[in-house]
Amino acid sequence: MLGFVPGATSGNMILALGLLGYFLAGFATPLLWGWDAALQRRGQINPNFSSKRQFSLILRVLALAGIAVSILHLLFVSTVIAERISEWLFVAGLVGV
Amino acid sequence: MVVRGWFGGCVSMHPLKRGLVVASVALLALGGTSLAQALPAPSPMIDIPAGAELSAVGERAIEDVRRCLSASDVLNVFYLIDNSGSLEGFQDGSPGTDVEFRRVDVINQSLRGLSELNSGPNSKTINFSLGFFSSSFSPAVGWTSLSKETLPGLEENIANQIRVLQPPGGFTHWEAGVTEAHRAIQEQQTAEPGCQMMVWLTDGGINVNNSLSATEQSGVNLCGADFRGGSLRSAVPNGTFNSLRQSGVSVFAVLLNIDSRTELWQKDLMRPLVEGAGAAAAQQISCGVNPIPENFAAGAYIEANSVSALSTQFLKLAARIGGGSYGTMIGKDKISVPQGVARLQVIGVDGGAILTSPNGRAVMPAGAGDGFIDAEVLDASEFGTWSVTATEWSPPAIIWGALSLTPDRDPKAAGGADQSVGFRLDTSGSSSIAVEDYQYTLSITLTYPDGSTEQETIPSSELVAGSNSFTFVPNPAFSQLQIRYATENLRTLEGQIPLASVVAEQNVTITPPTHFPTVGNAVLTQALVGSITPAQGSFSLLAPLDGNPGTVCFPGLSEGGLAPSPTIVGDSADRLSDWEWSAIASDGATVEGDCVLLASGEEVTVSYSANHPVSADSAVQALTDITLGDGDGGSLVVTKEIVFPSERIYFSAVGTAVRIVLIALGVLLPFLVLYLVALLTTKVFHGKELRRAKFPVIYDRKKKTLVLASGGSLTAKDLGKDEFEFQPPLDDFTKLTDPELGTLAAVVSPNPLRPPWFEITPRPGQRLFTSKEAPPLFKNRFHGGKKALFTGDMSRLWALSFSEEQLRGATTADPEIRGNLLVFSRDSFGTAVNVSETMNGIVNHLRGSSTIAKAQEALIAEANGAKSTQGNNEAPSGGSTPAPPPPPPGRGGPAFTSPRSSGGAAPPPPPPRPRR
Repeated sequence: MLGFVPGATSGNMILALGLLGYFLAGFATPLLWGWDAALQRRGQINPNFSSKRQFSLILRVLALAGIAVSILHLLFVSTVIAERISEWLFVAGLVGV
Repeated sequence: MVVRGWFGGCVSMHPLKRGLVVASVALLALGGTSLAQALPAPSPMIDIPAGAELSAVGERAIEDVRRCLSASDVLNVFYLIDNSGSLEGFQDGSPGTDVEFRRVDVINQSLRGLSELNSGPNSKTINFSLGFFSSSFSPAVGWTSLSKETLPGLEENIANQIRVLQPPGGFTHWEAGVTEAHRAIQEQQTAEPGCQMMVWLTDGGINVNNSLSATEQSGVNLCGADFRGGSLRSAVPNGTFNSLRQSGVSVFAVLLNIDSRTELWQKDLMRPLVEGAGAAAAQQISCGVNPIPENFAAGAYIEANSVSALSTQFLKLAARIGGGSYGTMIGKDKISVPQGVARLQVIGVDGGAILTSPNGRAVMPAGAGDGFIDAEVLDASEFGTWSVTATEWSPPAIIWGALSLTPDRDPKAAGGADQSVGFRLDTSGSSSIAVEDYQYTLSITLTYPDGSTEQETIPSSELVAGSNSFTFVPNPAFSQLQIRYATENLRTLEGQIPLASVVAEQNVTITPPTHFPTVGNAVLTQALVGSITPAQGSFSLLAPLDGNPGTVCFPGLSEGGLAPSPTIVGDSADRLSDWEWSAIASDGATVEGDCVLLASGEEVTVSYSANHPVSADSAVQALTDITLGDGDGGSLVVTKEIVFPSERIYFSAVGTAVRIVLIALGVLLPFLVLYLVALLTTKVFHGKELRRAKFPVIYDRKKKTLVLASGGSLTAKDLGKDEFEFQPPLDDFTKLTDPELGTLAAVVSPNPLRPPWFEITPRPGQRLFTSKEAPPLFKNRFHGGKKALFTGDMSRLWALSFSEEQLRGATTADPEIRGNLLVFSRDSFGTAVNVSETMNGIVNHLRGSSTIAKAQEALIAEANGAKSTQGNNEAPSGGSTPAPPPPPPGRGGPAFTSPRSSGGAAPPPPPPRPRR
C-alpha cells in the first residue's frame, strides 16, 4: 500500500524525485566529505603525502549545503508520504475523518 | 447598537451576529417571497453603500441555488463558523467580537428560518450540519434533517457546543475549516444528493498559526495559484475553492471586516476565493478555473465594514435572493407599480413612515423599529403610483413580480426523434395578475454530459398560462440531458418595468429506441476515498422493450476493465489520465467478449470501479461509450456519464508528524553517514617492521631534562641498538591494549564536525605524556596526563610514563621523577632506526614543554583536595598509603608483547630512586 513506483504517477514521481534529491544532496555529499577526510587522515602516514585542505573545505561546505537542500526535498515528499499514511490510517479505521 | 430582531423582541445586534443574520437571511429567502416577508429590520439610518452590491458572480451564485432548488427536493447546508480567539478577546487585551455568545441566538434564529423551507407545497428536505474552525476544524453538529420537529434539539445542541463544549481559541485557519466542511458536504452528497450550500462566516483575515509563510501557503492552497507573485505551489490542484465550485457547492462567504489586526491581503483574499477572481492588495488575482464554467456553482462574497452596512446588506441580499429587483422611481418618494408587480418593499424607513397605495391604503412598518415596510399588491386598484411618506429611507424600492415557471419533474424522452417536455407558467395564485402581463423571452439551454449545448428561445407571446411544452430532438448518444430555463429581459407589459429573472432547471432522461436495450444511469455506491478505496457504482441493463434480445457492449469488459478508459470531462484536480477502471457483469449474466447478452426481458447489472493514485477533493465526471445492439444486427453507441465524488484523505497532524520525523532524519542521517564513515576508516596505523624500545629514565622537573636511569646520554649514537625489538605485525586497529602504555584507541566523536583523534589511556596509577599536546577543546579530557594524544601512526609514537606516586613525590628540592620512556619506530627497507634523531626530538620537546610540571601540580592539588575531604569526613586514614591500583585489564583487543616481560605479566616496577 505504501509502495511507490517512480514514473507511474505524478504523486509517485514527486516522491521518487524527492527521495532521489534527498539521497543525492543529503547523503552523497556527506559521504564524499567523509571519504575525503578518511583519505586525508590516511595520507598523513605517508611522508610524501601532500594534503589538499582547500579541497576538503569545499567538500565540507558542499556537504552542509547538501544537507540543507535535502531538507527541502523532504518537505516536498512529506505531503505525499503523509497523504499515504493518512489514507492507510483511514482505511484501517484507526483515524476517522 | 440595538435594533429589532427578526422575530420580534429587541436584541443587541453584535457585528458577528449580523454576519450570521446575513447568511441566514439568504437561506430564508430561498424559500420564496413568503419567507422574505419575515425579514429583519435594519437600523433607522441606512445608507446602502456601493460595496454592499453583489458582484455578477455573486448574483449568479444566488441564481445557481434557486435554479438547483427548482429541480431538487434536497438542500444540504453546512454552516462553517469562525471560532477563533478573536471572538473572546484579542492579544492586546481588547474585548473580542462576541464575548456574550450571541452567535448562539443568531444561528438558532437562522435555523428556524431554514426550517420554513421544510414546510409548504414546495417543501424541501433540509440537511443541516455545522462545524467550527480556528487553528483547525472542529465538527459540532453532524448531518441532521432540519424540520420543526428536530429544531428544538438542534438549538439546544448548538448552544451547548458554543457555550460549554467548544470555547473560542486559536487562529483563523480558513483552509482547515473549508476543506473539512467540503469533505462533510461530499459525504452527505453521497448519502443523499441534492443542492449544496456552504455558509462561511469569519470575523478576520486568514491567519495560520501567526506565521506569514504558513498563511501564504494556505492561501495558495485555497486559491490554486500563488496570488502574491511568488513560486509557492498549491497542494490542491486549482485550489480548494475551485474544487467546491466544481462539486456544485455554492459558498456564501461573509467577512466581518472589523478587525484591523491582519494585513489587507489576508482579508481581501476572500472574494477571489469564493468568486474566482477579484482584487486583493491592489492587484487583480484569479483563483481556480476562470471564468467559472457553466457547470460549476458560483459563490458570493459579502463584506460588512460596519453594523449599519451589514444591516443594509442582509436586507438587500434577502430581497435579491427572494426574487426582488430595483423598482422604478417617479421622483424621490413615488414608486411605479404597474400591473405585474405583486409586492414591494421600502427599506430604511423610520417607525412613522407610511407607504400609500393608489387606492389610499396605508401600510406602515410591522413594528415601530422595523425600519422597512413590506406590502403586497392586493388587487387591480393598487396598480399605479405608490408613495412613501417618511423622513428618511433608501430608495429605490424593491419590487417583485408574480411570474413562476415550474418544469415537469424527471421527464423521459426517446433519443433521435422529436420529443416534448413540459413546464408550467403561472402567477403564484395571484388573482389580479396574469401570465400575459409580462413580456420576456424564455431562453432554454440544453446541456449534454459532454458539455455540448443547444439553445432555444421562445418569445413570451408564444407561451400561455398553465402548461407549455418544448419540442426538441434529444441526442441519442447520451442518456441524460439538463434543461435550464431563464427569462431574459423580463418586464411588465405595462410600463416596461424590469423584474428579476425567473430561472428553473429540468433533468431529462434520454431513452434509446425500443428495439435497443436500455442502460440505466450510473448508480454510485461508493465514493473515491483517497487513492486506496475506489469509487464504485453500477449500470443496470434492461433488454429491449420490444421483447427481443439485445446486447450491451462495454469496451474492455472481457478483460475486467474499461478500455479505453472513460474520458474525464470534469475533475477539479485535472486528473485526466492514470485512472484504473474495472468492470464486471453480475453473476448469471451471459458475457461474450466485451458484450453482455440480454435475453428477452432480462435485466443485468454491470458494476464498475475507478481509482486514481492521486487523491483530491473533487467531483469527477467521466464519459464512457457503450454500444447497444438490437437483435437484428443494428447498433447504437451511447455515451453514459459516470459521476462520483473524490475525497482526499489527509490528516494535518500526520503531515506535521511526518515533517518533523523527516526533517529530523534528514539532518541526522547524513551526520550518521559521516560518523559511520569516520568510524570505519579511522584506525591506528600499525604496519610491519614496527620496533619498540623501553628505557627507564629520570626526568628533571626543574631543568626539564630527561636522562637514562642507568646513566649515560639519551642521545648517544649507540643507544638503543639492541633495545628496539621488532613487534609482531598487526592489522591497523581501533583499540589495542599495551601492557606498559595502557589502551591505545582511535576515537570518533559523535559530533561529525569534529575530526577523529587517537589517544592512549594509561594504566591506573600511571600518567602518560607524548609529543602531541591536547588542544584547549580537549583540556579536561587530557588534563594532567590522564590521557595522551598521538598521531595515529605507531611508528612515530613515543610516550613518557610515570607512576602517580613518582610524579607526586617530586619536589623543588628533589625534582627528579623516575619513569619509563617507550619509543616506537619503523625499520624500513633494512634501514636502522635513527635513535639519535628520535631521542633528540624527545629531549627537545620536553625542554620546551611544561605539561609534566602542570600535571604534577594538578596531581598534588588533587591529593590535597582528597586529604581535605577525608579530614572533613573524619575518616581515619591512619596515614597509610592507599592500596596500589589493580593491574590493567586484559581486554580491549590484542596486546603488545613487552620485550621485557613474558606471558603478559605485570610490568616491572620502576627502578628505585637512587640514594644520595
